[in-house]
Amino acid sequence: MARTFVIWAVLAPAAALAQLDLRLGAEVYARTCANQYCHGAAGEQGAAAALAGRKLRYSFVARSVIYGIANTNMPPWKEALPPAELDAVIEYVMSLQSAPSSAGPAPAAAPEARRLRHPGRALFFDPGRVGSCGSCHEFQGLGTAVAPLIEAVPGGVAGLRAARPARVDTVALESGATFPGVKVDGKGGQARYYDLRPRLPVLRTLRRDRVPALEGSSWTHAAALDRYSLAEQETIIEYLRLALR
Amino acid sequence: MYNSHVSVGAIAWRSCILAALLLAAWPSDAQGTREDWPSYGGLWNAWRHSELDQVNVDNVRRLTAVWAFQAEDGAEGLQATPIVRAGVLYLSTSSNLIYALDAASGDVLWKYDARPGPPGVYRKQNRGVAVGHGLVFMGTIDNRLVAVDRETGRDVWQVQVQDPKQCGCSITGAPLLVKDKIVVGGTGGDLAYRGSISAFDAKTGAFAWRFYITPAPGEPGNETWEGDSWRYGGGAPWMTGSYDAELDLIYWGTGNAAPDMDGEARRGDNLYTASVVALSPGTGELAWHYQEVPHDVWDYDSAYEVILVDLPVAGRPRKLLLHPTKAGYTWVLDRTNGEFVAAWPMVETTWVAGITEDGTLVGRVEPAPGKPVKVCPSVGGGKSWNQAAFSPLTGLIYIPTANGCSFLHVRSQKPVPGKGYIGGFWKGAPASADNYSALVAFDPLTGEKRWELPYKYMLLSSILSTAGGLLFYGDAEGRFLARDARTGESLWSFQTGAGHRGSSVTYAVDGRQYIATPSGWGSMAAGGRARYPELRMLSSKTATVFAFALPED
Repeated sequence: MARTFVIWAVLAPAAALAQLDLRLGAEVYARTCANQYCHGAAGEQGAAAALAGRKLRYSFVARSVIYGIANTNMPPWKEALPPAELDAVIEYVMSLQSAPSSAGPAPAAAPEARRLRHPGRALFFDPGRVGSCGSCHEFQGLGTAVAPLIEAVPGGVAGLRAARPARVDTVALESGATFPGVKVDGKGGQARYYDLRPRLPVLRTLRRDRVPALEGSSWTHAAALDRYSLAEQETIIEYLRLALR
Repeated sequence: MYNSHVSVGAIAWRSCILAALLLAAWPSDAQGTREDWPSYGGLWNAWRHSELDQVNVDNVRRLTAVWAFQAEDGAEGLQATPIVRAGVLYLSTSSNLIYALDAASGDVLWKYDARPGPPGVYRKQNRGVAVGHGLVFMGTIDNRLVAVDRETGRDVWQVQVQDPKQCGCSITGAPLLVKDKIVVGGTGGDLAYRGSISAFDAKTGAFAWRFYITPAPGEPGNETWEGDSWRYGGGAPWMTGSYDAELDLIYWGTGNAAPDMDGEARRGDNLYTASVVALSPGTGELAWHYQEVPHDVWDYDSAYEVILVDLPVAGRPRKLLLHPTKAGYTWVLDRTNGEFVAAWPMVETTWVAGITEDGTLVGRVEPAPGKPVKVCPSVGGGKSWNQAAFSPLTGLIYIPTANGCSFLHVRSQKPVPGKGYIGGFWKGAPASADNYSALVAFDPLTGEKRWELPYKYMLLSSILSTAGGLLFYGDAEGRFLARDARTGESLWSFQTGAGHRGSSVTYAVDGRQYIATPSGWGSMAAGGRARYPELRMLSSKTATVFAFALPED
């Protein structure tokens, strides 16, 4: 399967791939190729060769991406990326060929920019605050998905503090201690829970027969909010409203 | 007046070095037994030296292969230092597999798979695990810290140290286990982000503390960053620290400031990048810091090994640390208070004219927009991250050095959180020496060369020292070698079939001493040497461990 794909990808003419999602390609490029040790944010050259505006041939780009280039830092990506992402990133690099090398990524649309610039977003994902909202919530592309997806925003800070997600259970340890836990899965003789006590949630794997879990918990969202002032919590609510609009 | 070689006074006291060293050879607070290889650098002091002497200069020629183990992961070769406790060898691979092997037979006891999705900026790399409290700890490419049952390899706990989507960073260095804390650094010195060191309760995974390399407003050191530049200042401490149990301090080397080349974007000294920081393991509180490269503009991380030695300086016994870094110098500091003692060059260093007797850099050669400069060592450093060894038998430090230079170009860049933030680019340039690399035996205080073995290709394995008077290491061409630590004379070698990027260890099981080495080429430093196309056939990204011992009679 993988082998068939590789041969196809090398031989297929660029035109046949034109309909592929350039956005996926740009995203794969941003995470695998764009760092400055390599090709730079818009293929304008990092420590490795420039890619933009060089009229590179499709066969060369595809071969280089898939197999790497011997004796250079260009690694083969055929194992590291799924086929669709390989196709997309090759297509994206080809799309840079007609662009002048100074071209940056397209500017974000205005509402998107407003969302990204909102101070509540910086608070939500604040890297300087251990136990930020983002350490439990994945939201619009960032953060860790411990809690369920945020789909509605509480009316105000009081609502935010009182929120009691149905999914938090009381998990008993062998020692007799209990913790508020979010169940992730249970298979075989094991169950996995996020322990919400520490500042960063800890994913624990427990033996199911030894860990009776009681449904429900006295845990409320207030316990997770001590990293933020009330004013900051208001700002975060504003941001969430804007982002979910 | 300055000189790139710093005088540390008369050397009449040299004869007392040996006596002092032998007393300090095996700390009373050793974390394992003499038979183990308990921690990344051997013991907490990071000497990479073992007291085992069954294999020695007289019998090493009889050393023979006793087992080989092939890991199911050749993504980036094998870069780890195995950990050995009570006859079990724990090995991590570049894509985040952990294997527990019977250290005497090589049989697999269990395998744990923590492989995440596609790698980010820093590719698939892993340099080792830590073992203790019945658990095996590993940092992952997607920035988790996982704890696995030492007996069964089953999951116990894991924690997302930081969001990799946000920081672009990963954990490639081995964690350091100090008492009840497990401590990790992370990559990201070249990213618009704040590097940090984090500690967790080893048994429960509960977050304990985090030390940010770039201080926020209101914290001491923030005044060394102009404006908001501290937010994107990098400084990631991506290797493993050391620990002094008596002083109860952790020592950690920190990474370069970001953007790497564009110093105008972050005027000031940029604390605590390119520094050694001494932290309390219980609280993460900073006891002292010493910045080796204030306002770095050359990508000269100080992230490498911190080797803790007690040596007399000018007749007075001192508790010191030796810190060989990318800048091509080894710094010698007093580890009780961070006082500068000496700094000596390991390789050709042209980025400064020298370092004064009080540690000040003089004659800095800095790139500016439109004015590229050539400096040596290269952005790859005067050595790579593979570690030096310190032998108490000879009193020498053995460093795998790298010769090379770079042309540095500045190009201003807007920081995007978690994305590459170099502020320029570079092109490699040859050093004046023909050889890319060398194994050099240095006097640890003066940098005087005792002997030197030039290598055409880069030496990218750590050096192992043993009480048998031996050094072991692997080269780019696949050879695993034993040398006399006093003379550098080659005593034994074995062709493992692939270049070496991992680090060898020694241990004993049931009275028999083994030497084990990873084999398999990989990593950034290993990839970019188009200068030597013939290396291609020697540099396969395999992942094998070979173990050697004397024949049983």
